[in-house]
Amino acid sequence: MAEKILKSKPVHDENYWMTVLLYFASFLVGLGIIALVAANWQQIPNAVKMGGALALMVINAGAVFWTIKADKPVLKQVLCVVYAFLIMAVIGLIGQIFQLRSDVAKGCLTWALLSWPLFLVAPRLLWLWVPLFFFGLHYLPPMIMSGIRHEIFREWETGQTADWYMALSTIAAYLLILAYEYYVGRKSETDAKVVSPLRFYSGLILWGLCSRAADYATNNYPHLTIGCVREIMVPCVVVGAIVWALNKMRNRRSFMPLFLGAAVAEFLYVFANKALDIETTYRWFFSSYSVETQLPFMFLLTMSFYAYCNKMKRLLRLSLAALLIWFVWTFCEDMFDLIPSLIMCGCAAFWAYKMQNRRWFNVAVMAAVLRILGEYGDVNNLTYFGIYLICSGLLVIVTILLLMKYGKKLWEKNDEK
Amino acid sequence: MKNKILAALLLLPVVGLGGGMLYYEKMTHFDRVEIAVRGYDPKDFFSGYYMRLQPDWQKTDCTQFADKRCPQNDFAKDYTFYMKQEHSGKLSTAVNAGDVKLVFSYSASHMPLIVDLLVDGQTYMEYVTDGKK
Repeated sequence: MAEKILKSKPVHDENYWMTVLLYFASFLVGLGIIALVAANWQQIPNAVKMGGALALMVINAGAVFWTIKADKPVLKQVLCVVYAFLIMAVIGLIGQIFQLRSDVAKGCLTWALLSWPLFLVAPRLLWLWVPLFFFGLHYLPPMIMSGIRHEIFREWETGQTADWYMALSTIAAYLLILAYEYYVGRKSETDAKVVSPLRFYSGLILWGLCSRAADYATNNYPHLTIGCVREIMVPCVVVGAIVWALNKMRNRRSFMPLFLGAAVAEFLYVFANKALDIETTYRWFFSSYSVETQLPFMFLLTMSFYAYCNKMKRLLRLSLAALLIWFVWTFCEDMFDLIPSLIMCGCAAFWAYKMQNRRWFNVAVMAAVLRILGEYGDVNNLTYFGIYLICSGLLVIVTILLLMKYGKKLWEKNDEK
Repeated sequence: MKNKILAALLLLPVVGLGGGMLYYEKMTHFDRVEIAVRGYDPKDFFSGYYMRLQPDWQKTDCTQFADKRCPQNDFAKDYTFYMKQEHSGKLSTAVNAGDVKLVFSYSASHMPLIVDLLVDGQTYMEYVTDGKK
C-alpha cells in the first residue's frame, strides 16, 4: 500500500494553485487596464466600442486555434480562459450600450450558450461553465413564459406573473435534480469521466435554488409567515427524500439530499435572522443578510460536511480553505476593520507553519491578500478603480512570487531540521 | 475538416454576439415614446454606475401610443440606466424634484429599448454638461 502511494503521481504539483492565482492576478491587471479605458468610455463612439470588442474576440479565437495547431497546451488553457472572460465582458458591453436590464442569470445563460465550445478545447473550463449554466437556467422558465405571455396571453395576464415565474423556475430546478439523479443512477460507477464533474457541480443547482427560495421568501413574505415555511421547505424535504430513496435503491451516494437539507437550513437561518433580528444585533459577524454572504457559507459548509462524511480529503481541505476565506471576508469594516481578519490569517499561517502544512500556509497568506484587496475594492471612481485593480493584481503576483521563492526556502530549512 | 469545425466553433461567440449587436441596433430605430419615471428606491436608487428607475404611469402621456392607452404590460416594472458616477449628484436631485422621462424605442411586437433619458426636456448629457436646472 505504502509503495503504491509513493509510486502514485500527485494530481498537481506544489505550485499548481499558485499558478492558478497568477492567472487570476494577470486577469486583474487586464481588468484594471480595461477600467482605465472605460474611464474615458463616453468619448468613444458605440460603433468603435462594438467593432473593437468583436475584433478582440476574433484575434483571441485565432490565437486559441493557433495554440491547438502548434501544440501549446498551457498557452491554450490561458487563452481559453481569457476568451471566456472576454465573452462575458462583451455581453456586459452590449448590456451597457443598449441600456438592457441587468439580469445576471440572463447574462450567465447567454454566456454558457455561446462559450460551450471552449470547454471542448480546455476541459477545465467545465468547472466555470457548468455552475454558470445552471445559474443561468434560472432565467430560462421566465424567458419562455415571457415569450408565451407576450404572444398569446397578453390580455389574460395580470401583474402577478412574477410569482408564477418563480414557482416555475423552482419546479424546473427540482425536475432537473430528479432527472439528473435518475440519469446518474443509471450510469456505471466506473464511468468517472462523465459522472464526476457533473455530479460535483450538479449540487450547484441547489445553490441557485437557495437564492430562488430566499428571493421568493423576501418578495412574497416580508414577515415570513408559516405559509412561507411550508412552501419552501416541504418541497425541499420531499425532493430530498425521493433522491435519497433513488440512491438507496441503487446503492450509491449523492450529496443532493444534503444540499436540499442545506436549502432548508438556509431558510431556517433566514427565518431566525428576521425573527430575532440577528442582522442588526450581530452585524459584525454576518455582515448582512445577503446572497453574497449566506449562500457561499451554506454551500461550503455542506461541501465540507459531505467531504468529511465520505472521507474525501482533498475536497475537505479545499472547502475548509474556502470557508477560511469566507470567514475572513465577512468581518466587515463597521466594527473591526481589517485587523482581526489579518490576525486570523496570521494565526492560520503560524499554525500551518508549525504543522509543516505548506498548502494551508499559502491559503492563509492568500486569504490575507484577498482581504486587503476587498477592503479597498468598493470605489466609485473608475480611473481610481482601474489603478486599484492593477495594483491589486501586481500585489498578488509579487506575493505569489515571494511565496514560491522564499516559502520554498522556509520549508527546506525546516525539512533539514 | 476537423480543423474547420473547430475554427467555426471558436467563432460561434463572435457570430452570436455580433448578431446580438445588430439585433439591438435595429431595435433602436422604432418609434420613440417618452415614459415618465421616478427613482425605484427613494433611499438609494443610484447605485454605482446606474440609476434604477420605475415608470410613473400617472404622469405619462398615453396619447403617444396607437390606441391612446398606455401598454403597461409591455414595459418592465423597473429599469436601470447606465451613466458616469460623476453625474450622480445632479441627476439624483433631478429625479427627486424634476420632470424626468425615459425615451424608448417602441414597437408593440418587440421589447422596448431605452435610448435616452430626458431631464426637464433636455437629454441628460445636455442637462449635466450645461449645469442648467
